[in-house]
Amino acid sequence: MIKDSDQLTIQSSLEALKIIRNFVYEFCKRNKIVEKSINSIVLAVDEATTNIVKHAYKNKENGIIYISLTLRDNVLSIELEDLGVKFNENDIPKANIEDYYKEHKKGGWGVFLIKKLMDLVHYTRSDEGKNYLLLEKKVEFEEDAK
Amino acid sequence: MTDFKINIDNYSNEIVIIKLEGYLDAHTAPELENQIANLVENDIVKIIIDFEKLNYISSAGLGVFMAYIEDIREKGGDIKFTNVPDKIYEVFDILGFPMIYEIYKDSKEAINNFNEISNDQR
Repeated sequence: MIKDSDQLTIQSSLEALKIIRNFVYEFCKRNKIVEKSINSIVLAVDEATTNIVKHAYKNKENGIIYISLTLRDNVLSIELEDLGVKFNENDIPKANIEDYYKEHKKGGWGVFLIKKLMDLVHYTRSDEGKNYLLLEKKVEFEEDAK
Repeated sequence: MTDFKINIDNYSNEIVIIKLEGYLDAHTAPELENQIANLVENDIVKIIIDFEKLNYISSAGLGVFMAYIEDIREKGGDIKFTNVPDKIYEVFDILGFPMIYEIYKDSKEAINNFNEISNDQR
């Protein structure tokens, strides 16, 4: 059963990250999801949208990011869509802390974090050139935590 | 409204405490990067990062520390973390940061550690 759903369409920019985080936070809060789950979800969405802004749209501010949140029972689904360049997982170096230390790389942890924080991560690219990322996480509610 | 603030406390000629406040994400990380680059350029490499007032960090923020740690250690310095709130520690933990960085309860402990190392070298 769908408990709640909400959508946000926003122009691609790093400044938009805080608006996106607030949007996700408010949605989780009004559905009384526990803080620990909220922190993971907000961070995963931030990492995913950061990648869209930086890599899919290559920091150009004319791209559109569409975010849809759906809470079904105790599973939150987050769908992210953009029309940027294709995501290639092979471009993402393995997030191994030792290797990073040696190479002192600044990035590349976003995907690693998303996979750690979410229960399901699924990327597809449509024939029309749309990137579609689905994230899912089983959440706990404040009343369950009592 | 500022989302992110950096407060630099020049504890001594050698040791600097960087107090972070607010939200450290891909948008605000370059500000921190500039500050650290500036310190390293001036050979100030004993750096303590105080997370007490930091509400949020994403991988872009964490990447700043990774970018400079090697240079800093080569110059005989270090980046040490203090006052790390639980929710920020959780992110550190996922990425294995506790294996790379020393984490102290407060700045005093981190300063003592820097001073002990300098005394040993004398």
